[in-house]
Amino acid sequence: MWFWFFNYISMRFFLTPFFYFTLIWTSASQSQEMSQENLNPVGKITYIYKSLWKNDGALSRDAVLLFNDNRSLFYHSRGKAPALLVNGFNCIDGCYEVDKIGRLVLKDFEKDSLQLREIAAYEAYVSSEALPKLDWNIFPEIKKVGRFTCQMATTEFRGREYTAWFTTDIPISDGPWKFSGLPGMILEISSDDGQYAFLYKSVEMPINDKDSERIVFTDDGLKVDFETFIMADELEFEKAKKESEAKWLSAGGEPGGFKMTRTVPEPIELNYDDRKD
Amino acid sequence: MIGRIKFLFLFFLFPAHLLAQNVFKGTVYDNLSQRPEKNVIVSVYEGKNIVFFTKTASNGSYALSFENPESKTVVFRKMGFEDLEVALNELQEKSYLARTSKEREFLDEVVVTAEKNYMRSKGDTTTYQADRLRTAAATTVEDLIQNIPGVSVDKLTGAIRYRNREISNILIDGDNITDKNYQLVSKTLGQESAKAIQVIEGYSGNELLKNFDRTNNVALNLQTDEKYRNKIKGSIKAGYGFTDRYDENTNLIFISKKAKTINIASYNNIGNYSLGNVISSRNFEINSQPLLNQNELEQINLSGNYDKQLRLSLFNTINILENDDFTLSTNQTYNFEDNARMKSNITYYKDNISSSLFETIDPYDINDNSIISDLHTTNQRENFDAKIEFSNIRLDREEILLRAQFKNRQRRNFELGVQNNETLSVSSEIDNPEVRFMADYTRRINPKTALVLFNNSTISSLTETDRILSSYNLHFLDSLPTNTVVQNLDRKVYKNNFGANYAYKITANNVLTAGLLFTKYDLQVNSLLSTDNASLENPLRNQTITNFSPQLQWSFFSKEHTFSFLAKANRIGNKSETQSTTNFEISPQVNYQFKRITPRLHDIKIDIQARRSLDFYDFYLNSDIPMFLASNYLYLNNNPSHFYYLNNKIGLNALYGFGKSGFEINSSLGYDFGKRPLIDNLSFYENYYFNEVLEKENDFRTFRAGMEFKKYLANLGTNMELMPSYTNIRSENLLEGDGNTNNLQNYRLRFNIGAAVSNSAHISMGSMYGYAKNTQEDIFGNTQNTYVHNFSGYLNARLAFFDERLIFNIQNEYVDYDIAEGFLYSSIISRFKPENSRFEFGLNFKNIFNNGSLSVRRVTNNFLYEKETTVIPRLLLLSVNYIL
Repeated sequence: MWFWFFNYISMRFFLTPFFYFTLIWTSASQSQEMSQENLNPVGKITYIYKSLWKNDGALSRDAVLLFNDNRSLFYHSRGKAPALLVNGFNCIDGCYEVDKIGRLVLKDFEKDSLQLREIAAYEAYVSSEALPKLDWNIFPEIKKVGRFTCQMATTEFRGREYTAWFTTDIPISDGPWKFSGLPGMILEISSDDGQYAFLYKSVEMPINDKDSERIVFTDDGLKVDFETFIMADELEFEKAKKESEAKWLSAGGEPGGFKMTRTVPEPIELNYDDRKD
Repeated sequence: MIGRIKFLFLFFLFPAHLLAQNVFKGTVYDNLSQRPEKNVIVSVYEGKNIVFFTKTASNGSYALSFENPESKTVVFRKMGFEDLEVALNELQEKSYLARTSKEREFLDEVVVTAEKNYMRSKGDTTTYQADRLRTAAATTVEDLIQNIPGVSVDKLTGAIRYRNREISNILIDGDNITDKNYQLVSKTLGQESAKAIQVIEGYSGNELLKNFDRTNNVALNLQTDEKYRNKIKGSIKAGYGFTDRYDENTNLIFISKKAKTINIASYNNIGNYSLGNVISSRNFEINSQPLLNQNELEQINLSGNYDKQLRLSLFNTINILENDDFTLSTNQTYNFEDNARMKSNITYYKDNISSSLFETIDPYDINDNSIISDLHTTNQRENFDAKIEFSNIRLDREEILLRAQFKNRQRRNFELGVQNNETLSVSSEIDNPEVRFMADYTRRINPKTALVLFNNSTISSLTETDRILSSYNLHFLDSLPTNTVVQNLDRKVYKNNFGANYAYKITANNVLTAGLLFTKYDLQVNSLLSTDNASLENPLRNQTITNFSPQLQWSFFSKEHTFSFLAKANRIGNKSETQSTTNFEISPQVNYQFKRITPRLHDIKIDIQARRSLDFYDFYLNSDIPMFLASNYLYLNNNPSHFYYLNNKIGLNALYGFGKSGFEINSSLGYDFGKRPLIDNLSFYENYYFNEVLEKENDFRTFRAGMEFKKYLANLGTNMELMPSYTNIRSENLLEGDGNTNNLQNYRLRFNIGAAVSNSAHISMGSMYGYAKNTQEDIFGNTQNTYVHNFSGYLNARLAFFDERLIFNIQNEYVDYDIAEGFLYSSIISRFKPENSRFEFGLNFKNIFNNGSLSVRRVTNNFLYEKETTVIPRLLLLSVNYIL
């Protein structure tokens, strides 16, 4: 009530010259939102996303899949921007960046496409690719994940072998990150080399959390082709390196005396051979 | 390609196997709407195992490929429908799914995982886990904060500086409860309340303008431990001593997600430090939230912590003081569910300072005949501040902030004395109530565009009962870069030379400012047009000053660079009995700022400002490269007029911290020159009533240099500080017309060391040696040199016995400069069952001793203002403390 009252007063008496600017901005921001389709998720699964997950220094964070049977949005590293979360004193122990929007994977099963958003250093990159077709082998092994009975399946994807546990109790062919294509929801999947894992944490169906329903794929970031997108970390590192070297020199450092190396864990995708076919 | 060749190879190798497969095609429908259903999962089971699966297309169709249909079943599944199970050999071309009567529901399952991060850094925010900051000696949050690298805490006032900038706030779990009176948090909350402490640089009080308004503000955020929440915490203490000495203190704190409250009631007449003094001096200041960095001058700070041991160098007065001090403060926030928030702060503070002043001809030759004046002064200060705030954030993009404030400052001063055989009696009384209403409106139009209206706009009424007047102050639409002129005018309202002679009246003060801030592609353009009309009257001098100042500002800023240009026209009319003048001129100002924030805290900031104003030019350069080097350089060339605060300073601060080792070096070099301003803008209230001498024009030049080494190791609980310093103060015309000049050189070396082995035993000690030489020259050219050697030392210890059932606190201070003096303060605290009992019984003993001819002596080297603590020769006080 107060808002509209003040809006009215300010527009009416003080802001006439600025009214049109405000109008333009408001309509611009609205049209921007309209272009982002609402997901209308029917469920929400929270995973624990672990890298180096069999090591002591495992880095874990919550990741969320919002889904319906046409589309799903997987996101993590979402927080108050900009931020670098450090798992110890430095990034050798593992660290990851977050921002307000987070890292996103939007699967569209009708268009067979993935829309992606990644954070590299403090820059966000946005791109898209085709929905990967995974060859799954289903095995008779059964185990309980949470309260769900899950069946085992394996696949190979971009340089890593994965073991997944899916449940037919959630009859949607989807899963965390880029994984999908099983006759049910993937609740747990880990790479056989112990590097990456998405572990089940909780499920919410229907969604009680109103905020989750509002989350959409936001393409705020540098829009690049997929080839550039997968190089984002390196590009940002080179940028930071150049800046730091300039700082070093301006602080009186010897030319050539500056060295900066990258100590990052292996990326989850080791090759993109499937795209060449 | 290779895959396809392999496939063909297999095809030719096993043709019989493939030919044996059956393919079945069908369509799935919703039995209610009879429409085809897409995305239905069709699984073929053999026993309990899925051997084949597919998904229906958008027209509901599917195709199955299988062998041996006899032993298989097909299951159709889709969200919102019942599962349909059919034996494969009974499968029809059309299948119908029935809707479930009720959607399936699954309860949340939560797996808790633990992580231990000691320090996290994210952009502008660095988080320190409290465990890492804890020493055995820590009792309050302040004790934790001082162990954060780059932080210094002034023990006397509680002022906290981070990288030489005073912090603007301490938030509790992100909620602002105290505004600038952050000492309420740092000095009242126990160390156990903290789970982590965050340092937030570029802090914006307005949530919607985070990462947007480029302030230089630093705030701390206290993340509370869960055990501390939802409980009433604090302590209740009562003490009585001989003769009629009291020490009562109650702190009640409650913190929950929605509501937070801090309440203090305290009274003492034993000279203990009171928070009320700090709160009342700051409580009513408007929170300035400039959208652009306005190049606030960094104060040159010589390590901040020159506390009592170091204040012993220049002395020509002797005070005997007795204070009593009463504080009542209640502060709360409440978060409503729909992003609305309410906050209130109410503080009442009253103190009573009685002092006897003996002034000597030669401060270093004290005897009965040397007294030329004997002045008994009683000062009473009474403050009442009340503030209530309501804010509502709507849809994460709109905020309205409404504030109402009331304050009343009362001052009573009575002096009775003998000066050169004449009796002197002066009394004055000031009553200064003020009401303000404010409304701020912020709208974040999109991630890069914001509109701020009524920023700190006020409608206020001011009255002063004994002299003049009421004044009305109406600010409309003060948006975007906060107009500092507005603040100066506000200050003028209170300007009152020693509260007796005259006062200014603002009859009209209308500010109209409108701004737009537009950002696209990291380039922001801000244009601002404002007018500033003021009229000042001094009825006692029959003088009227009118001011009309329209201004226009453009700013361009990208992520790292800001360039702004401001043109201000001033028309100033000055009409008095003797003269009538009108000045008109245009004052341009150019600012450039470079700011880079890097992930690893090696930020760089450079501000350059060049300005031409009414009678002066100035140039200002401030660079700030924390962790490696923080330096401030300022050069101002000006001709200070009666209305402007200008400070001539040149200085360099360097702070170097050795990362994780916690070892810091802080060195400072400062030189103040030129004429001292009438009023120190930075600490207005504190200076105002006590600087009557400085209303004279003093030439007061100071050169200061110092270096501090600080090593902090939380695990061992060791603190070490070594601080050599040199100060040279040259003062001329200290009193108008006497023509004397003083040149005082002061060298000091300070050493502090402390160790806390456990909470049961910790000890700290320190000493300072100072050498001062004062050269005084009178108008006839006669010079006189005085040499002083100072020595002081202190010892603080806490020793606990019988599992904390008996605790000794000992504080001892010894000072020697011509006349030796010191005090011993000890307290014994007893608890019957330390782990359960909440009662503490204390016995406090204080004795001040000396071997000189005067019983008590306190001196100061601070010309501007020094609030002395009470000096009571002897004290024996019993106290009971109940801890909640």
